[in-house]
Amino acid sequence: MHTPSNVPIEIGALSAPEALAHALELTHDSAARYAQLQACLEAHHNQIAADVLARVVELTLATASSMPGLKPPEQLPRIAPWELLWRCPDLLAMRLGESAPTACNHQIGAAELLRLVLKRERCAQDCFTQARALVMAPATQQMLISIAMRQQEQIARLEALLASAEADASEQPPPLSDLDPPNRPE
Amino acid sequence: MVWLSGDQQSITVAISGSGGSGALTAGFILLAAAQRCGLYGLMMRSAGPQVRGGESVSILRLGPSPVTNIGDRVDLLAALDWRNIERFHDELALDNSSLVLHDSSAGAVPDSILASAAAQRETDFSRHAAEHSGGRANMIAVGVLGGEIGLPRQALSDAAETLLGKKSAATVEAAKACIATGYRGTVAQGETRAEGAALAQRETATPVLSASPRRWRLSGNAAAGLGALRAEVGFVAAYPITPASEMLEWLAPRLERTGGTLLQAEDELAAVNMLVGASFGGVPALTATSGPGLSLMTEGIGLAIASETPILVVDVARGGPSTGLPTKSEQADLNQALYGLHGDAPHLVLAPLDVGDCAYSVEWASRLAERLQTAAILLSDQALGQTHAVIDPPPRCPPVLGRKRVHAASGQDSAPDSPAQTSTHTPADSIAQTHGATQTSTFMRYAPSADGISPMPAPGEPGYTYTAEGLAHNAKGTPSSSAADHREQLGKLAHKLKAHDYGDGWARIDRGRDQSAPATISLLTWGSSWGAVQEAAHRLRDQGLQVQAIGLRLLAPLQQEALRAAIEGTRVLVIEVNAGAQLFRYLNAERALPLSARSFARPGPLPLRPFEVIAQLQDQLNLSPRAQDSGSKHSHKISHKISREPAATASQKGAR
Amino acid sequence: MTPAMIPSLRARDYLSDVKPIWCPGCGHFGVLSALTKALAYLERPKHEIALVSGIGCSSRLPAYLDCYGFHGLHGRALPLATGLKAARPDLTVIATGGDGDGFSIGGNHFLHACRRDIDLCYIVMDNAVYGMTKGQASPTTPPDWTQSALTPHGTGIPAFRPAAIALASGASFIARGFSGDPHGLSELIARAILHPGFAFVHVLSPCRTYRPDDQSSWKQAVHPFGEHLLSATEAPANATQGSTPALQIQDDGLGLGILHEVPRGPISTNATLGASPDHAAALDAIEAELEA
Repeated sequence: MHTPSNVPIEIGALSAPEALAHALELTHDSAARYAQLQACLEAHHNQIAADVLARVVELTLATASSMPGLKPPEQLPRIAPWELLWRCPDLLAMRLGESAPTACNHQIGAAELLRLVLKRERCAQDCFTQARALVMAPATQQMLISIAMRQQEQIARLEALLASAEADASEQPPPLSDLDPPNRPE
Repeated sequence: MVWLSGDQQSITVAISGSGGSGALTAGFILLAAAQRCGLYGLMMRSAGPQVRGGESVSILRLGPSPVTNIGDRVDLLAALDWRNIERFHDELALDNSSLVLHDSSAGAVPDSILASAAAQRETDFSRHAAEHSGGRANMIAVGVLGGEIGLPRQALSDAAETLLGKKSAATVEAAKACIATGYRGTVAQGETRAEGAALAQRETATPVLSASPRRWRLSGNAAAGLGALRAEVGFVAAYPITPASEMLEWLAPRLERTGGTLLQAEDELAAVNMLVGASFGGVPALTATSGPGLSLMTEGIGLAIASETPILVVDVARGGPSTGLPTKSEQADLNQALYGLHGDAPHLVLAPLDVGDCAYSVEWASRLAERLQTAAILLSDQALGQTHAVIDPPPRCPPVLGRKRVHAASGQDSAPDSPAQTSTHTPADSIAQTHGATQTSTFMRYAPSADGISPMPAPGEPGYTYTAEGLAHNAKGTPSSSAADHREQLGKLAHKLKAHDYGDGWARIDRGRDQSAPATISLLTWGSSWGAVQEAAHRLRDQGLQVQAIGLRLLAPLQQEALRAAIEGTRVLVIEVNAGAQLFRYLNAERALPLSARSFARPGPLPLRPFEVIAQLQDQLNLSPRAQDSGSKHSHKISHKISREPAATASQKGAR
Repeated sequence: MTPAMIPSLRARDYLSDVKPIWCPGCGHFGVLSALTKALAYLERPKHEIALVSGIGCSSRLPAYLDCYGFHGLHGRALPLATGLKAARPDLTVIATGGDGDGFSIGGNHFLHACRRDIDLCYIVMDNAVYGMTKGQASPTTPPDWTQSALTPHGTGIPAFRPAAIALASGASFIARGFSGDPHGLSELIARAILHPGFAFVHVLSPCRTYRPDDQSSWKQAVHPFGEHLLSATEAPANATQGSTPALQIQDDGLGLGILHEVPRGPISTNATLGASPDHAAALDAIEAELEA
């Protein structure tokens, strides 16, 4: 039986396995959110955007898989989800929080989505690089450098996707009309 | 002396009095005494509207053979006082063959009693009670009545001890002393009559204390509770309502003894939903309510049907509509039970035929609901629920297979006829054990099958997770509004009920001593009306008519073929206690009756009496009453006896 | 091979393959995410978990998890969950629903579930509107909201205060979260599930379709709840010696965290719970008593 902990983690004293665990949690959390939005857009008949997100999910999971190669998984510490050091904003929340919530409905375009993904991924990268400056143990610093390298590769691949999405924008057919609940048939 | 003898079928006595007079306790003691003598009996009671201290009357009918209704009339009334007696005018069916014992200190005999032309005898209940410290008039009445009926004094004494057991020793002793005083007075009267040899003859026919095991003495509500325990119900939700609360109160401690749980809910809406939850968890569940509560539970019953979650709702019906007559009986909830749900929601509707049948029917309804994964509504009523009877222990219901599971357990079936559930389907977690990952469940909870019943896992079983649905759904349970899915699932709900073989339990058919004798007339009824109809049929057969009585126990799904075969070639009279002829209309809508069938439907709250049925039938058939109805024969005998009794002691005034 | 304990990866195991019908950007996605993370962290086997819901957008949640679930009647999730838990105390039972389902038609059951204190977790996704039926005011809608055709002048009725009412009804655990912070919410849900009684988690979960401004306004307005839900006010100057000070509920409806927690166990409804009596023997004894 695990009971939640209220003790905040001191980032300076972070160990290498801990850093990896937190990075994996952030990356898998991102993948889960992208997958969630993919399913949502599929349910709302925006298959083009859903397909783009499917690709993003693939890339993100691949990035996560490339990280444990740095340390055997059994040696990772158990962290609770609320103990996650790094919080990055949700995709649509970034838009919803602004004054134009209608830009976040089902008809969102692939390019716009990828821009939002990149915002989040760059935020993650910032978390890793800032942490590297704060941690004390050299092993941890090394770990964070490796993680940041993987994350950079992720960002590069996403930028490539965005470039090709922007290039294709004029040829994309408009998505089907909205069937958001409560208008949506089952 | 007015007592039971070989040629007399039964005797009906009543005790009335104001609140606190103990009329009901006296009735209970007489019934328990009858039980100890191996007699059968039934006791109904009526009370004024006050919660405490209201006037009340108990009416008992006792006899050497099973007593199934309260009879046509009251032979003997002990009136402890006259408070509000006109309230009970209809229940106390006195006539010129009856005898009324009354206390001179209670004042003049009221007009309503005088109008009945019953014989009267002054009996000083209160003065005799005052002779004993702590003595009560009702116990004198117990002694007097017991003596008149011919019950052994020991039986009365033992019964009083059992029923008053929780009270102080002094109270119990005073009660016994009063019983003895009342008894002596009566017996003394009898001994002064110059009937010599006839007296000896009567003594040998006197009821005697019989050894254990005894017959059972219980109310319909208690019998219903027993049926629940026999059905292995493990969860009961309770919300109090007259006249169903007693069933729940009887169940509460006993359910605990069998390992079950009872929760008091905040209202009927909560109660029915609690049942669905417990049943979803794998535990058979039921509740009891009355008409107003059944109305509230309707949506929840629909959820049980649509999600295929077994539940049983027992309706102890009372006078309607709306708040109606909470303490009285009527059979007017049939429409609600059959038709009250929105949408096409096939389900089970059953009704017990007598007090003992409450146990049989509740057990059967619960087991059927479990097997067929549906909702069952059981229509009892106040006339059964709050009637106490001495009966033979009722039989167990017909065997019914239990809930269809996903795994074949010993003695139970799994799903031999639905390919999705057999060996080709492996639970996701067993795959997980071999491959080290947990797969998402692909279980098809609502898959169609030959018998329409799909296996129902219980939470806790790995690999069969599903979400039960009230929304229209597909075979997996995912919400779906497709026409094909809707038709398929509606078909499944109807088919699983129709395809089940209910056997002979659907009705009772009584053709008298010779069950294979052909009938030319069918008296068709349901629920608490059964007893009076059965007796009416018996008396009509004595008059030479070929009458059969049919009591429907399974009302929905209607067993069309069996019913048609039973009434083939007969004239049918449908009898029920409700103003709208609900059963008659239902059977006609189902085309189950010949065009010549007729209806006798009248509203409650008075219990149905055999003479009503006989009179109706004679009227319908345009028969003149040729021979005297056998029921009234006996009453003339009794009055003949009474009128010859001289005034024996100074404390009594003579009969008219 | 699954890494030791990465919550977000394990959380995926708890999801079914049914796609949520919620609008893109709906707050309920965050709640679903938080719930699966909490369940993964607690390592509860998914077949030992039951999600029970009523009717509404948030009540669709049970089908999106690969656990046992019941999508029941509008307003009746709590009694269904209560019956299930009473019959099967071994299960983890979680009731979910919205503000209309829970506080309007379900209001009575909410009061009594708080009183009864059966070991349930109740998550209400409050978006202050009836979304499924296209945007009517709900009990938690502010009285001056005029966007519904049904109440064009606003309801004019002060909003229902779920935490205060839960407290007054005797709830032993009250928490509030925000769907915009699924990580923080996952802790509240985990604590609620672990609490051995009725645990109420009030989640502010904006509806981006019918109340589009809530996302930003709530995000700015929510704050950590640092005080006690109940506080004693200063005794008035003319109060007699030793009089009890009045208790005041301090809650602006936007404080996040655990608002109230009483570490007590539920009252057992069945004295013999846990015992497995011989049913047949008990039944025989009961039948024998009818001969008395």
